[in-house]
Amino acid sequence: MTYALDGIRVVELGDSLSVAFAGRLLRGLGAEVTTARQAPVFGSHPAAITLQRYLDSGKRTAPSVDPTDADIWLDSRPIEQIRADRDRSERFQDEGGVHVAVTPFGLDGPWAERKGTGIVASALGGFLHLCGDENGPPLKNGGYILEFQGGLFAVLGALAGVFKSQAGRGGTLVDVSLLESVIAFQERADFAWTHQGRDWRRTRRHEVAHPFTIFPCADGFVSIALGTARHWQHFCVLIDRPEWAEDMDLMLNRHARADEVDAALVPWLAERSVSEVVQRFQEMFIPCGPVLTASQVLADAHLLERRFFRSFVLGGQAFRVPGPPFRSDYAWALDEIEPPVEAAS
Amino acid sequence: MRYDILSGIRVVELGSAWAGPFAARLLGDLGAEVIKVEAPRRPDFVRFSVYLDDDPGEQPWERGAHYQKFSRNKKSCIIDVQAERGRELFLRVLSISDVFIENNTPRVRQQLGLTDELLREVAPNLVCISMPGFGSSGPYRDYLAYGLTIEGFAGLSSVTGYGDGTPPTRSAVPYGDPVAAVYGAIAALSGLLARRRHGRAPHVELSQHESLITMLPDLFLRAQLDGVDPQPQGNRDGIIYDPQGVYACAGDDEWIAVSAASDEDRAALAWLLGLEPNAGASELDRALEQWAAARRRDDAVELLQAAGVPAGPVLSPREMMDHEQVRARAMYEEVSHPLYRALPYARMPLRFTRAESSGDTHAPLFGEHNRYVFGELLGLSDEEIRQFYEQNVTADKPDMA
Repeated sequence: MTYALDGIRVVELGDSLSVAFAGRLLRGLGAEVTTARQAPVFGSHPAAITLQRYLDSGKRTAPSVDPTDADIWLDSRPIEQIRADRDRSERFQDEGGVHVAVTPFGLDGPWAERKGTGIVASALGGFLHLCGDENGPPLKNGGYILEFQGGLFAVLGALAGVFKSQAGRGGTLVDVSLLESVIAFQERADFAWTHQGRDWRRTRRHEVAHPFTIFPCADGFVSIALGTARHWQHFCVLIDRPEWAEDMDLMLNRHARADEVDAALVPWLAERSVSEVVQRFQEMFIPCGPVLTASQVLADAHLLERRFFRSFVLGGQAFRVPGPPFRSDYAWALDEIEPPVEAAS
Repeated sequence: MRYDILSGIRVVELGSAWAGPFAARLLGDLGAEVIKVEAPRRPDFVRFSVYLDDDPGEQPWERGAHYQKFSRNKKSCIIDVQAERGRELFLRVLSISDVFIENNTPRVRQQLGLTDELLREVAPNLVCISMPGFGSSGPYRDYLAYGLTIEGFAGLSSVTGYGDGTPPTRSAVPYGDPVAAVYGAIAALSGLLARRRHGRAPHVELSQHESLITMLPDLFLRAQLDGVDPQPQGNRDGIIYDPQGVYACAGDDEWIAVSAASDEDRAALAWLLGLEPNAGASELDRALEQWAAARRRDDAVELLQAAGVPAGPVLSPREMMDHEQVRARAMYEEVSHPLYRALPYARMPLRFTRAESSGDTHAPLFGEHNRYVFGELLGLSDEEIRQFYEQNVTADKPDMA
């Protein structure tokens, strides 16, 4: 097997979901990853322990690791420990090493020493304010996607650092902030303020487009994302309102006239199943999809045909887990997943 | 801020909307030369989205904020890839490049005739990143994908909501796009590293749908561990973070987010709330609700952080951009533009020591670098370039007809 990151050695220090996720992705790309994590560090809940074992699968574990004996040092320890290790980090960088520090708010600034988690970064980063009902509390996404965002950027920084080092331009310290990882995912809300003076607030409907949200059908929910004029033209035909396609005012102001649109759309959807709606919208080249539960995703025909899921065995139970995000000429190293292997000390 | 880490690397982007262009922009932020290719009659539609000052002006394609944000640090080259001469021209650009990123459906890519075989023939050293919404095989392969719909297909929408019987809620941003974008940039970088080590440039297929699923492993593990599907539960977690929630404060629409990840955090919270050190998560949650309701948002955050409890204010986008930490780290930097005033955009969330950096360059004007690409890079004569304009293979402004 040939892997994209053959020969790259990674060491993880610290107990964060971000770094555990980053280490797993690097392992999948073929790097050799060693983590100091052994005991459960994300709590004693069975789901937390299972998640940790999944994230650490394929990694070597060692009771004490020397991060400078690697190409990439992933570090999510508390900031005072990262700072106390500055000399070691500098020497590591002198020798071409890439030290990736993942912290809640970054290595400097007035909040650097404060404590944060995914939801806290999401609060500061403007995401919570933008998600939820108009009159309801701010809302976060389910799962740990916010923490894993930080892990994604940590991998991007690590690989950029290795590219730099291998080009003979020396090592580096990469400062990754969970807060800034959230901000980097902002799409329109920040420039709605800087370019138009609008400070957006959460709403079930999209801020500028319509219909562009989640709607109920007869047997579940669908997401409809009607973005372009062409989508609108097709939509009018689909829901038996061809006259709307000629109404330029409605097309251009359909967000302001959303109640009028929904008065026709909502009953139309209520009479149809999720699968029928998705099929008919997609046949008309309008982005639309079902709201699937976890078990429905695991049984999804598309993913099954693409053989996406992999097996992960823990405690005698075989779990189906997400496969690689890439299909490439280079192999994915986590195709045969097994629990962490203890490294020889 | 633009780093020089990828200087010497040339990237060609044939993308639209968010996922592909954002992936390419991240490489531009890292110092690669990114050439964004659009057709005269098919400009990236986000050029016409969210106009500065709500004014489309005389050149609306240059005033869309989305385009400005996600196409900085790029060059613009206009080629009608569907025309025979345009396709030849495009392949010549690819042949002198290192990375090709596109996020079209397989159907569009087929229409363009950009098969893997052809690309390997004309550009054997090209790292190719193809980012179709649902991959290039399977029943959904030609489905149109927007970030919002991908969330539903991936399972994210099913766990995002208040958990009170109200319908699932869309996310603050359509996650499908930015997740795929970062994966796209990672695929490009790992491909360049692999090319350097093994001498073979990979072709990578990156499904936006599958990318988002990889961000949700906990959902699938829990569904199989518990035998039931995870459900929306508002801001609660109860697995790693407990208590966790968003709490209303005394001011109008003022909220704080609080999250305890360890016994140390819970003990600190108990101390602040005047409870026993071993108070349970439910007790802490109830007491925190009352405690927060009696305080202003920022006062509450200061007290919680001083006690050692992870907490933060819920900020609007405007407040976020003005927050002391965001300002101190200059997360938003102004980028100048030849047609209007300088405006702030978020930096890439990576800071590198020991790397040279310079200011960002504005998103390019439509066709701004046609002559650079055709003349300097491909060595075409002025007469040849003139013919391309005459034949509508290229243009300096979109063909709005």
